[in-house]
Amino acid sequence: MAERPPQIERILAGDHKAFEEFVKEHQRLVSHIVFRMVSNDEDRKDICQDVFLKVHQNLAGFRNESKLSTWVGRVAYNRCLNHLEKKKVPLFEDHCAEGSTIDSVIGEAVQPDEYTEHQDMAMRLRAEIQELPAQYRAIVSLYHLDEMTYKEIGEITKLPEGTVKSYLFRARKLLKERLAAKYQPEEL
Amino acid sequence: MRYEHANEQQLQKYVDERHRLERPLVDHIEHCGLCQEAVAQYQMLFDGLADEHDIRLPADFAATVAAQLPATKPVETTAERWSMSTVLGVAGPLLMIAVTIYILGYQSLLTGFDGFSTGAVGLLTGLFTAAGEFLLRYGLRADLIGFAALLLVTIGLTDRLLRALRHGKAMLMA
Repeated sequence: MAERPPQIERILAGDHKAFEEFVKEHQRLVSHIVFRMVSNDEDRKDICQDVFLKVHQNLAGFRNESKLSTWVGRVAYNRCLNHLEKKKVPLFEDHCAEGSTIDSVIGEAVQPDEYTEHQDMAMRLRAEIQELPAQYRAIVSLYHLDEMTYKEIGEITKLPEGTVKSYLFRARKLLKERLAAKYQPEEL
Repeated sequence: MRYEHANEQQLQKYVDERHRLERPLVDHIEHCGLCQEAVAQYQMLFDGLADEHDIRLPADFAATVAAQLPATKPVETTAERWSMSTVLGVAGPLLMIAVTIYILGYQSLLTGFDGFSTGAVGLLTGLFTAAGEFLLRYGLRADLIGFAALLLVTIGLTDRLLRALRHGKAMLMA
């Protein structure tokens, strides 16, 4: 059986300072997953806190069989899935399946004149990301923000590597098409 | 140079993992205005996706979470678990020796354990360790169990010693 890292042992021994350090080390990853998957700003901080309390609760069960960050990421991802399921938010790609055309996507999305307050590309892109299904958002975030490998993303989401690659490709294609359909090249 | 334009997958790969594309395709993309336009769009998209300005937790987030931890008994560490297992592992055989002396007499220790005793030691050691682990889950400390086992050993040995002394005294009197 693999030994646990000393930091984990200290946390399990009741060292709250060690846990605070642990939170600082992993809060970036957790916030990426939670902020991308959950749209409601009020829920985000609470969920991030919940994730770490859950991690603390289950830390004794962690074995060095997977990377600690992957394990924490999986807790965050599952917590978000539970939250979204309760809120009945679509999680999967049937929301915008391969066959859906760019026209149908635009029809459902916000109209260009609603973007007057959006001053830059980043804000436009954020709005478009929020239109993606939750799973796509998580995968895009883990790949582009946390620079995780397909394998690591697969471990967090429990999806095969091929599916991760496919979702990532579709998400980016969808984003590019949506942005291109709404804005002139000079606006982007 | 190839004349077909790169497809979406190849364009994404060009921006993300160019080294994994075949050289003729890379050459085409680099010299084709249409492909370059699509690459520029993807490049902009990828840069935007790596932007995390909207994702920010309060500066005191870690401290806030740590403050919410329940003030319960800390979970046992690996070192603690090891010491408990060691105590249980030692206490088990000692207990069995005490029981053996009590039942068969101290001579059994001098003549060596018979097959029954050896098997019983193994069995009781396992049972004792399992019972100890079970009790620990309910908060009973290992040192208490060890102490109880040693107490039993002492009682057993003292009892046998007293009997032997009494027996010896009776022999002398006769």
